Amino acid sequence: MPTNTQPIPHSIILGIESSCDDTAAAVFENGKILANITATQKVHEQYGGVVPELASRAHQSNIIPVVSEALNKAGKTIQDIDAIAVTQGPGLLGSLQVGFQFAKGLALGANIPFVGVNHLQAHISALFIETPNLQLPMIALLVSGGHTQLVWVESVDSMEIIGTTIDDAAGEAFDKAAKLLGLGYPGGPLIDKYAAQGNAKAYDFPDSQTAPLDFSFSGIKTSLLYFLRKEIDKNPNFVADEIANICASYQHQVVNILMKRLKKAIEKHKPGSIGLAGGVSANSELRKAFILMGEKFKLNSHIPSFEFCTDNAAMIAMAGHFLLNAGIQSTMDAAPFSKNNSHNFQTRTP
Amino acid sequence: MILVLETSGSFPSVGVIDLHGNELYYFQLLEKQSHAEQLATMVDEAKKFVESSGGVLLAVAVNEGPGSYTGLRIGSSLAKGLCFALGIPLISVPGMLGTGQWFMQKNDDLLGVWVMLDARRDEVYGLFVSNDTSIETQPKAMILPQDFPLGDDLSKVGFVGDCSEKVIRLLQLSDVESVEQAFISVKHLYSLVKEAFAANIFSDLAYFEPFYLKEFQAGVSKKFSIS
Ligand SMILES: Nc1ncnc2c1ncn2[C@@H]1O[C@H](COP(=O)(O)OP(=O)(O)OP(=O)(O)O)[C@@H](O)[C@H]1O
Repeated sequence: MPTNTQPIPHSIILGIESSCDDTAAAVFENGKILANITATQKVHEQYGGVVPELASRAHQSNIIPVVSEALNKAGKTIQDIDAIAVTQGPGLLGSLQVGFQFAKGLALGANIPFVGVNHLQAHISALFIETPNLQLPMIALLVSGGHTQLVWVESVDSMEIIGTTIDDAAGEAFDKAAKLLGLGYPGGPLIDKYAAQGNAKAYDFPDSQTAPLDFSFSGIKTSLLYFLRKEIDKNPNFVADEIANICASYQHQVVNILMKRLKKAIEKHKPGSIGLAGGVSANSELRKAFILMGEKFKLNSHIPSFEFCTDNAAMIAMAGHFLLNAGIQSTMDAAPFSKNNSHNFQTRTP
Repeated sequence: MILVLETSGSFPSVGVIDLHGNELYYFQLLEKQSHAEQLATMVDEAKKFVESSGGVLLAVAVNEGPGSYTGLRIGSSLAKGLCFALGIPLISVPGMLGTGQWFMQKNDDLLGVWVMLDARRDEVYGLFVSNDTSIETQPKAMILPQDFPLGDDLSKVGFVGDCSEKVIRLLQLSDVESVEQAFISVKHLYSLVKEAFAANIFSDLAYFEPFYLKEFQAGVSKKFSIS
């Protein structure tokens, strides 16, 4: 259980992230990220997706080189660090375990506090790295390989999920489509690339019925599968001939599904600004649509730099900073969790 | 002093030894699969013991495996963090050999012992430890009974491990002399740790990975495809 203690002001924080297939470390001091290092694992490419056991093993040999590089780049040693922030979940348990237990070992060895950070909360905290004075409350649209959520951000340490995907994440919708189309992994960026040369109105893909602020991507994914089977029956070269139009139409509908819910959320909750977070925010059509949505409602729209959008440790350090400032720390018996089990993020206890 | 961690089995244990291998502190948690929550707390207590007795930690040692993937991962990750922060070396020792040697010391009339750790179903990790120390063997992943050399004379051979009952049943052994159901403990590692430290045999802190024994085989998913 997290404990409430005295806030740790002006601290130097080491952030560690190992929830999926990236091993990352970052150093944060006085509101600035001094270093942000990520080692991406290549072993998974041949399998077309992340293999959990292999990811855990690779983290074991990446963790010290990555942490050392972050400390070096920041010009710090482990003795300079005041506190550690580490991803506690959600994510792959074996992968989380490596970073989390390593962080506990560091905290014990260096005699400093540590705090477990919710990975989703951290994606949203990334919005504050470059824009510390966002207009709150904010609605954040979190779109990554593993998650798709609408989050009501009351303050840096108080957030609530107001909409969520009931099946696949937006990133998965891109990656699984790319796999069907025979593109590489991860396929999101490739769909984006081909889409740029295609006609978004060439083909129709469906949206699914959900609660107003929830998302569903399994329908569009399956409809793409049946669509391709049918067309390939008629023309074996269909994918190659039509790749740009397929990508453009599919991407357009994924973005449309996201924007419909965002619009409803803005109308219902009336935020002070909107923010986009997670790796899918790299998608060019999504970025454009998101900015247009802000303009439509006369709200500032915020999108972090790409290095803070994909899995990274700067966002973990940032979220850790907010928690530590609110007097929240973890105790040595804290353990990683694979699923977000409550509807709320870890927030300040009132 | 050296801090020693055992996390390959069901019950984690932590010990502190001096450079002669004498135990100064010991704690085993008799709560199954509690490594993720409890190991760091146990290490914290052991560290407090070291500090209160005016000692200094010179190394951290772990069981390198084989054993539970998760347990090994937790132990080595925590140990790496400790070593990195304290600037001290990491030692890794083969725990099954340690258990075999520990058993042979108590049963010096035997010619050797099979150390068997539970894997799934009819599988075990098996290591034969002979009283002739010049004979070196490696742990094997075995399916019982077919991978076991049943023709061998077992009259002067012991069995030890966390699944002795299963082994006896699968091998249909009726008259083995010495069978002990024993969970692997940090105590089994002390003498190997002492020797490694004395001989300056340390693991590469950054790149050390537990010895999982089995190569991991992943398949490519065909679940969602056009054909
Ligand atoms: N230009 C793009 N267009 C569409 N999708 C993209 C683009 N660039 C990246 N993605 C997608 O973003 C995802 C990766 O994002 P991120 O690193 O935040 O997620 P993750 O680590 O898989 O998941 P999580 O953060 O939920 O644990 C992948 O699914 C990838 O295909």
